Amino acid sequence: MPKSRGSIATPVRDLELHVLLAVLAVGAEAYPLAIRDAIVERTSRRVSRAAVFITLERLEDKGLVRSWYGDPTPVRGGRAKRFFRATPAGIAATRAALDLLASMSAGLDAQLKRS
Amino acid sequence: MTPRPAKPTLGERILRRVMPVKKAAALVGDLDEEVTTRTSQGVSRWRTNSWRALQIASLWWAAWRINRERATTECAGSAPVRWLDGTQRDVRHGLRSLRRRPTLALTAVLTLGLAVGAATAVYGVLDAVVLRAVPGPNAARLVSVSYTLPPPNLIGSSLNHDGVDDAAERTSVFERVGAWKPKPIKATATVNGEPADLLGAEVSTSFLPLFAVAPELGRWFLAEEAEPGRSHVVILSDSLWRSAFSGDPSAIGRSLIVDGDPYEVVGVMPDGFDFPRAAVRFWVPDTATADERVSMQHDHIAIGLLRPGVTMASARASLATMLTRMGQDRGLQLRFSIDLLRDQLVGRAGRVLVLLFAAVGFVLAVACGNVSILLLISHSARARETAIRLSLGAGRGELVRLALVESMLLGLAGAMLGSALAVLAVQAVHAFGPATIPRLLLTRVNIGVLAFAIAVSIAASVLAGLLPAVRSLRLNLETSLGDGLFVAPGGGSLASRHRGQALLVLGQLVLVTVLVVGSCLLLRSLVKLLTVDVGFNPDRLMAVEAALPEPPTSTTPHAVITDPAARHAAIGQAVAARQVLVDQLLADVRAIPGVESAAAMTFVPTGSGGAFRAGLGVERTAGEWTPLPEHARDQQVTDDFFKTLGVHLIAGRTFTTADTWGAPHVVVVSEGFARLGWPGQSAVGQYINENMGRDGRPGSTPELVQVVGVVANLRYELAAGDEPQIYYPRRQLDHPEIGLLVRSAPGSASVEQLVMNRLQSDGFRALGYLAPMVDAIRGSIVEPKFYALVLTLFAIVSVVLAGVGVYGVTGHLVSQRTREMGVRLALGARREQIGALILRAAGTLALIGVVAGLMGAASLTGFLRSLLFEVTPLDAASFAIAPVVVALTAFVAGLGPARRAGKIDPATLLRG
Repeated sequence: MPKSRGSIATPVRDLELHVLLAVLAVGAEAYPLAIRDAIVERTSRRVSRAAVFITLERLEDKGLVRSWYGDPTPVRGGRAKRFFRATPAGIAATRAALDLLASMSAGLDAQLKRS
Repeated sequence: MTPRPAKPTLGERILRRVMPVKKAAALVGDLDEEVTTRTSQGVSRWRTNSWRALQIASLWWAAWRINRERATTECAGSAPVRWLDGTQRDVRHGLRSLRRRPTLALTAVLTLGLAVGAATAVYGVLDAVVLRAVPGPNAARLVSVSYTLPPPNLIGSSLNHDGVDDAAERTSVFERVGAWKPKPIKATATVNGEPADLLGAEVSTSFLPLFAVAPELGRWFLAEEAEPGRSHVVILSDSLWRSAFSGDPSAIGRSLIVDGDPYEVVGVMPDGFDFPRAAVRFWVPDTATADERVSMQHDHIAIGLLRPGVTMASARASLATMLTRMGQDRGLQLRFSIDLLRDQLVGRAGRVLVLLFAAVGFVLAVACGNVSILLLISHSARARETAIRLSLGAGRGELVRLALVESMLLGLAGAMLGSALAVLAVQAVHAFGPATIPRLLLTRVNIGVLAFAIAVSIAASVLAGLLPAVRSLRLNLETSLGDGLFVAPGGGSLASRHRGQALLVLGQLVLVTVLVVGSCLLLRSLVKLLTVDVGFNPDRLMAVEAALPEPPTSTTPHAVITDPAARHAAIGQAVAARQVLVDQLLADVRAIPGVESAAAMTFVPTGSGGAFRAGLGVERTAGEWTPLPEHARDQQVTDDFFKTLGVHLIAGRTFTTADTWGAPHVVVVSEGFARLGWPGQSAVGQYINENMGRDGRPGSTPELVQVVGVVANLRYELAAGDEPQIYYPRRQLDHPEIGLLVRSAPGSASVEQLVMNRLQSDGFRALGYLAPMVDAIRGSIVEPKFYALVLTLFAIVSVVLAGVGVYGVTGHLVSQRTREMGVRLALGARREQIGALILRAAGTLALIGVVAGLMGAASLTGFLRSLLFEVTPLDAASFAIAPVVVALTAFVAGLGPARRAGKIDPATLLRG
């Protein structure tokens, strides 16, 4: 059940932000395997398939992504891919989370570099 | 074209339980993509499969978690969620408590895993071989009906179509009837442009509907498709449809090229339908003409679907009446048999598997006892903790629930380990199992088998946890919280505290003794088999079975001839025509350089088949016919059969070229037959009446053959024992197949290929390849060897488990009585006396257990009789070995605790 609400962006958790960014980065071909590969590639962070699956399900429940099924392909034993796309609410939530990070880290460059 | 979705894999089906089908398919598709990548990177198959199984498990868990999150959000506070939360709390508590006692948890899981693994593997085999032998919901009502004519009128034959229709019309026992030919068709079909050798079955058009398994695509045969000219239609198995037509639904109406001819595909049977054997890939309608049917030369087996409520006994009675009438109409006397189709297909293997299943039940019970003992010990060690919980207000019901959850957790872990072990065991069965057990290779650890593993494991663990759980209800708070010197924690006297554990160990020892006796019996029987004298010289002897070519001169189907004299002459003519072909073949084979001698019989020793003759009578006193108490194995042999095989002639003569159809009919019998038929008399010159009724009385017209010789017994199957054997000269009674025996000359070059070429050029159709008899003899003990090894494995596992049980109980005894022993030592008892005290406890248990076990074994080993060879079910050696093994196990298991008891330091103990 989507629970997107008005102009206030839904807060997203750490992995949710990663997944949303990966969905946006991969674009039209965003299916779980490609999304996971994008996260691993960009962050070198080990993410399990189960974690990506749970996160995508949660994001869909929150109305931040939308999924649909493609055509079956022979290399997958005749099974279809499940593609994901960020909804406007998803894009807003991503932007809000990044803005939050940016505003929280503003002026901290010197300290962050020091440590 | 959109590719058709592949069949859902086990992983996909597991995921479907927790998420929609499409979602599960997409996830599995993702995994398959990665599997392809891993495989191309050279990752081993085993590692890839393990990785895939792990991913499926984690995805299942993830889906379960997300479902739960949704349920919690939507119905927070509802009863199911509260229950779920409560259960979760119990599970967490159980896991914590087991983590505190890793040795107990590990031992219990290993014990359960071993037993559940064995039980699951045996169930998997039973499921494939017995439960799925006959597909569809009608398995319990399908019967196989066959009849034979008394020899020498005709070659043994089965009820044909004509008879089937009569049976359906004349009796009210069948709802429907059909027929199939037991001999598979070997055909070359064009699959993906390549020729492929396939096995098919020829069935009547009414055959497939009997099973009530609807085709996956298309339809069953139509009645008119049995007519010659309209019969080029075929129904495919699921696997052939997938390989030849890539699972394309538009295959219906297209053609499959079989032996060069196009056959129209009219249907596809669903996956799993593989009657009558696993290798059958297609079915075609039987097109025997009316004349062929009446001649009964086409071997058919009739299958009837009994009406609901009709028992085998009433079906048998009804058919007996009908067949007697049918026989009278044709002037023939018919003998018939009716068996449940499943029993007929599975045969002896089914009964043996049920026995093994019972044996594995014993192993499971021993394991169950072990876990129960472990839990009891752990419970008694925690009696103070439990008492504190109770005194602080915990409900007894809650404590029971906690105890049960704990044992269920052990059960679940045991199920996981057991399933993994079962997968390995099934692989071992595929690799080492005897090919003679039908459908054994179809054994899989499928969802049903996995469900069995989980159910058995949880049931076993709950059963094991029941006693400790009940104990927590009877806990005496006062004594448990006190710290009396001679009062065991938990209250009650020592004897009563240990009675439960002692009884469990006793039960284990009884079961183990029975298993050990059983496995000793089978092992001793195996040793006898390995050293048995086969009655002939197998050196340089080779054999192959082959079908005779059609005789050059057409003969009138003899069953349509009503005049007995004319029919007799017609049969003689047919037999002689076939004998010319066999004589020619034997002469050609003997002419091959390197062949010492050649002969023909019906079924080669230790080969695939055999025929038995019932209804034989012997004349011990003049004019009085006594039925032979056993069926005699019959063979139709050529003149020099006995010479080629090297069978010792004991009395009389063997066959000559003069023993033709027109001459008096003669037989040669084995020593065993002679002993059984005419004890203390010479068999040569005696007569055998082949027309004895089922009631043991001779039929109206005696059909006599005279015994002209007695030969040594042959072992057709190594385990057959001294069965009576009877030999007919092929010139008087023949069979459409021969077992060709060839003995090569010593030091000669290989003759196999030349003999096979000769068979082909003489028009015979070989049903295999010329194989050394020594190999066949070795192959024929594979099955008894397999059963003996499996039972021995079970016995070993249970002996080890019982050892752990004895060790646990005696060890616990020591820890419970440490203070008492310390006091005894302080008062002057010697250390050996203390050790002996413990060993005596173990010894007493072993003694009672073994005696009861031997009594149990004596009453149960009778079930093994059919598996034993030259060993009686009450074999003294086996009954002597088993107690020694069990007593030794108990002694060794008690040794550790006894030594520990002897090392107790009274000073430290009494100070502490």
